[in-house]
Amino acid sequence: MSKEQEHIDKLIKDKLSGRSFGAPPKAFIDDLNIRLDKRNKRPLGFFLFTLFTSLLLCTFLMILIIPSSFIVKVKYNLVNNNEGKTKEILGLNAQLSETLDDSKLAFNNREENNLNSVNHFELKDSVDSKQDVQEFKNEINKDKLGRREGKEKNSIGEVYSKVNDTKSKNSKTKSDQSIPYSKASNIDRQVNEQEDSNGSSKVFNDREVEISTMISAIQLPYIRKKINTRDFFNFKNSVSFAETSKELISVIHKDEKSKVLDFEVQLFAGLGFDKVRINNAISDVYSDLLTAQSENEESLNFGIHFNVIYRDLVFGSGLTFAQQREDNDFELKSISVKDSVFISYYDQDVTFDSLNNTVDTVYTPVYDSTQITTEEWKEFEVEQNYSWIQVPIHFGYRFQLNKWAITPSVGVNLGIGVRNKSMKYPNQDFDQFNEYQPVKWTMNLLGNIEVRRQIGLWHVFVRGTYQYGINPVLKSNLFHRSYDSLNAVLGVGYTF
Amino acid sequence: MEINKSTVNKIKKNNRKITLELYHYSFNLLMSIAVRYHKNEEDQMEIVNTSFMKIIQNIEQFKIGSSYFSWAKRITQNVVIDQFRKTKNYKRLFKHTENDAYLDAELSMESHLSSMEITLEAFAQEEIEEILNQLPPASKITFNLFAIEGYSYKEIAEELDIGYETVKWHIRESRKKLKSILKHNTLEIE
Repeated sequence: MSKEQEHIDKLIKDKLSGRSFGAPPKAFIDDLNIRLDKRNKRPLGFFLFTLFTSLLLCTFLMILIIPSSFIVKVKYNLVNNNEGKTKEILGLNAQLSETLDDSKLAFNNREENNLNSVNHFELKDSVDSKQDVQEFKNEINKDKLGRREGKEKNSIGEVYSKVNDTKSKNSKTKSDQSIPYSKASNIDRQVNEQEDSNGSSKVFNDREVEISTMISAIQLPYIRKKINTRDFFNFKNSVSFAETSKELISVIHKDEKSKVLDFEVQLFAGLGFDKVRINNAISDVYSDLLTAQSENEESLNFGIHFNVIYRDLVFGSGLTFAQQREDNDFELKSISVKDSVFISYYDQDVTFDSLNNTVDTVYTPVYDSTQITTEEWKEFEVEQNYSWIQVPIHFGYRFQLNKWAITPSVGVNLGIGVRNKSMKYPNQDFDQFNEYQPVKWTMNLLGNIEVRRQIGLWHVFVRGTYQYGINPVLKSNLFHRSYDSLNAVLGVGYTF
Repeated sequence: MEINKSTVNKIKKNNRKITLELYHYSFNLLMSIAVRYHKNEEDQMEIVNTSFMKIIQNIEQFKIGSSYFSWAKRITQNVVIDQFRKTKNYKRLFKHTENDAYLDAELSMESHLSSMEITLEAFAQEEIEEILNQLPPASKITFNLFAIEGYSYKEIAEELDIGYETVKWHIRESRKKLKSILKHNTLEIE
């Protein structure tokens, strides 16, 4: 660095040091007081947001914990020999009942005592299962006695029918008994007997055991896991049944007869396409220019919804993160005034000799200055970005078509502004930017249409949403700026 | 004003009286930085008040017994840098563009004036600030950070996320322009 350079830096630094500005102007103090007030005040939105999310969380937990009526249905195919099959049929039903008790007890105990294995518990014997087994044994004994006496051989299907007839007669009595969980068992009567090639074993297809029981949603995966193990099909008094199992399927679904309300949770993500509406503009020209220089961009949105379904009426709410994005190429007029120095004239200095002849003429330029005003348009790229946490509240009706369903719904969407970027728009003369603060709350009217495909307790869905902004997101004395949005999301849901 | 543990605690508890006392105490420092970057009062107020809010929000990080003004100055400089970086496409401002043709044309006069000695005695502080504000935004912040705030080339390059050579170029161009303006104004005064 040359000495001259150091010189100019030091000169300016020294000259600027020690400047006194006196007391702060009133405008500064007023602005500071506003900022301090804002700092000391917790926003109302924060409390409402906390309250709402707490309520949602509580509701969600209640849905998980409170027991409701479910049907547990076990379908299976098996191959077994004649001796084993009767015991197996008896055993499977008893096993299923025990498993449910076992799972529920194990689950509760695991929660309470932090124990992991169900084998540590003394299980309560199901009254139903004991009775079923006894009834079935009596029938088998009668069957054997009959054969010994030369009577016509009863088919296995007839034996099952008898058991089921007896069970249905006793069902009323059973429901009155004081047992831990409401329970009704049924053995599917459709049993096909087929002789295999060796003639020593039989194939039974499409068997089902069904039990209706009160369990909470949080226990479902545990019980499902328990049923879907090969050990479940191993019975103390049966032959090596598990080895011959071909297919183990457990189906757990809500008991439609006892069901009043369905609850479901949905997770989704998708894209939004926004359209700007400019209202109350100071002039049409200003509005047209703003619109012409604005280009909307697609934005991401995602969230979680909770729906309550009564018959086919759907009430839903949730939380959504949504954005509105614009890419503006604003052209601003720039007027620059430059000082320009020019040679105004030449000062003529003439030297004469004694005879008055010109000896020499020296021309010295005389400078003058003027101001040149130039006007040009410069383009500024400005990206506007509003981010919201939205709370939709909507009502709809579900049209069911087998596993497909279409749900149109309408409602409102309350938006809490969480973040904004830029917020710069040209002033009326388009020669500089004004900065704005968007509103903290918005309300949109919304219309949804959802198409879903049910897969067990799960469903996948596509939802289109149109939102009409009731209040502007940005208000100024020059314009009001509102948005209309079209969103398309893809999601997955679970019904409790 | 003495900034001790009690003062810090009161500010943390939003004691308005102590906070405003600290504001008056800090105002001269904050304003002296703000005027070097902005000439209109609203922009200056934005720098001063944003910086002061950061000061009181982070007051617990202030080490009692150390220099309050150095700490507050650093916060204000960071606010200035942050605001500059928030300018859309601020990096474009560092490119040598046609806007600088004006600067180059002015500098062509320099040969004519080069023999003059630069002296600032005739200038008021406000005039020097006015002259600094005539620099293009990128040159202004670079020169201020280097010559007045004492940042190194490397620090400026890192803070503004620009190249080392770009920093050097802007400081060199700022000096040329400042000299040109100062000499020209000196001529006018004479």
